[in-house]
Amino acid sequence: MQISNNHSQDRLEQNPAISVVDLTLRYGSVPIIENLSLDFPKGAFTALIGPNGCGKSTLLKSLTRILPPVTGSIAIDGIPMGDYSAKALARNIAFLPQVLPVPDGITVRQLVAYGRSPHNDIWGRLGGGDTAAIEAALAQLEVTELADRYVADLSGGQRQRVWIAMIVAQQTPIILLDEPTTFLDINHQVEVLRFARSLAAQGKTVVAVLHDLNQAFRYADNIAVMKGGKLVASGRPDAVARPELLHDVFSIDCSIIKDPESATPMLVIKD
Amino acid sequence: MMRAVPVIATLILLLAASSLAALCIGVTMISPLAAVKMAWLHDAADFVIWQHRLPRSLIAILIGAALGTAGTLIQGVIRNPLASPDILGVTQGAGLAVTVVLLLVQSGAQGWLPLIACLGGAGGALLLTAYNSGMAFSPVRFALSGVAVSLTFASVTEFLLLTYPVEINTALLALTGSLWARGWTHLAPSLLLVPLIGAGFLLAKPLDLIGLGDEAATGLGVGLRPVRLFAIALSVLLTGISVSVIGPVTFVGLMAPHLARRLVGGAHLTLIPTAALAGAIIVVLADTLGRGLAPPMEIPVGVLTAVIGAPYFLWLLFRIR
Repeated sequence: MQISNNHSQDRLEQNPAISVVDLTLRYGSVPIIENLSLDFPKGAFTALIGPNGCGKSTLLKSLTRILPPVTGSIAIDGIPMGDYSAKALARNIAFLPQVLPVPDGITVRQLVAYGRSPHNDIWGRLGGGDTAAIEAALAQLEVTELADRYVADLSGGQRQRVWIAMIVAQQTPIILLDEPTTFLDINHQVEVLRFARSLAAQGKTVVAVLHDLNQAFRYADNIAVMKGGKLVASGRPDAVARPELLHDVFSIDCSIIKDPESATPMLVIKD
Repeated sequence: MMRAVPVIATLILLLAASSLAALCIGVTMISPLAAVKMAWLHDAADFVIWQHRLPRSLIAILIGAALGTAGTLIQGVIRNPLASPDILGVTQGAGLAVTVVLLLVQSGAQGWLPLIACLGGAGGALLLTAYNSGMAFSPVRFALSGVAVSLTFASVTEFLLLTYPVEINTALLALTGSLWARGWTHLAPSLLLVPLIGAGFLLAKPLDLIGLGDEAATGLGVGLRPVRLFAIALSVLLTGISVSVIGPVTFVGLMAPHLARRLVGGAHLTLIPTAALAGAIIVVLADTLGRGLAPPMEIPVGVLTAVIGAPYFLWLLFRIR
């Protein structure tokens, strides 16, 4: 764990994978995020935390250009996001939406193959490299045996894994996950978090909106705390996990102890 | 995916069989062998086949395929199996334009009706897109406003027919999709449908991705706006040309894609040709049935598709909820 921490410390000091400067976002005329500046370190797993409605998901949406910024700029790997074509952006950033529709009449292998679409031609033809990426993603998420089943026939947990396999097959250096654990049982939550951490260990930049603070502190290298559309704090878990800060952001009284398994900060609610 | 090829091959055979039946059945019954021989050689004895049934069947095939394709594109964009080209404002816009012109110009307008239908259909579609263009695209709002626009046109048309009953027969004929008296001259505009159906294939991949939701599609590099515009424009053209050639034929654009989805699954590269074939088979069979049920009387193809389509729609609704 010591080695891993040093390693993540190195990663935090590299050039950021995503750099957000003075970003303002609105839904219609409703401001969601105002003048937010934040860097996502390359090769690290960043957890975005904050109370409901603080703008975490909205921020992720603007990073895939689903929601255009009102003001401010976003740079991916040092290049302004506007300079990327839609396809080029999709070769750099993969996004797992919070709500996953159930596509009709689509098998697991077909869904995972859609992850290759930023890389292949207008007909979606799959070359040898595409097929290898699909099979690798199916294997990594342990869903190979589901490959020929329809997505609609799967359980919620299986569906989540299959969708994650889809964005893994996209083979992007950056992966954004909007609440990837929310609808999962605890065992699948841990699976997804471990997987996110392993992706970061492979050098990918992972950003996930998480609700469980202890899971965020335990599995993420870097924490960004948001409230009311603003960044409150960002840094390593032990730098962010402070009772005063958590009181300000979440209105909870808590103390911080050491997780006996991982020595990461762990929050305990006070009565 | 794997079963797409045998399904499509079977549908091609079915379409060939229905087309052969279409050549044989009618006031004059002709044996299949004689029909093929006449169509192939087309000597003086084959007047019924060569001048009537063959061009009519070809038009039926093209328009059925066009409506099947248009329905697939619209359902793909709206992401709802209950959507269809009938809610684009095209069919009813065409009907209204034809009715108005027939009321204003008492005679001599006959030859212009296809063009007028085309313009009316385009006007209806433009109205619908203009209404939806000011805001962020919402599939549900697009579908509901399409229903509203279509119903408005239909009720104005009905109001006019009830208030000015003079030309009601000509108008009713134009408002009922029918292949009656369609010949080689009508095939030329229908041939325009072929490249348009082909263009639909360009949308196969982006429509697959849109099926995963707007957010996932954007994340996979799909430009939502151009894809939607292209898909809606293609559907409008396919429906508009069909309406101008044979009048409104409803429910084909609803049934064909849905049947196709059950046969080959949701991937559009196989869904589009399957739906086109299913649409062609439906229209050819409906027309043949209309001619064969009670000759010499003909039941218009648009009436038959509605008679089959409406219960199908109800069954579909029942299955979905």
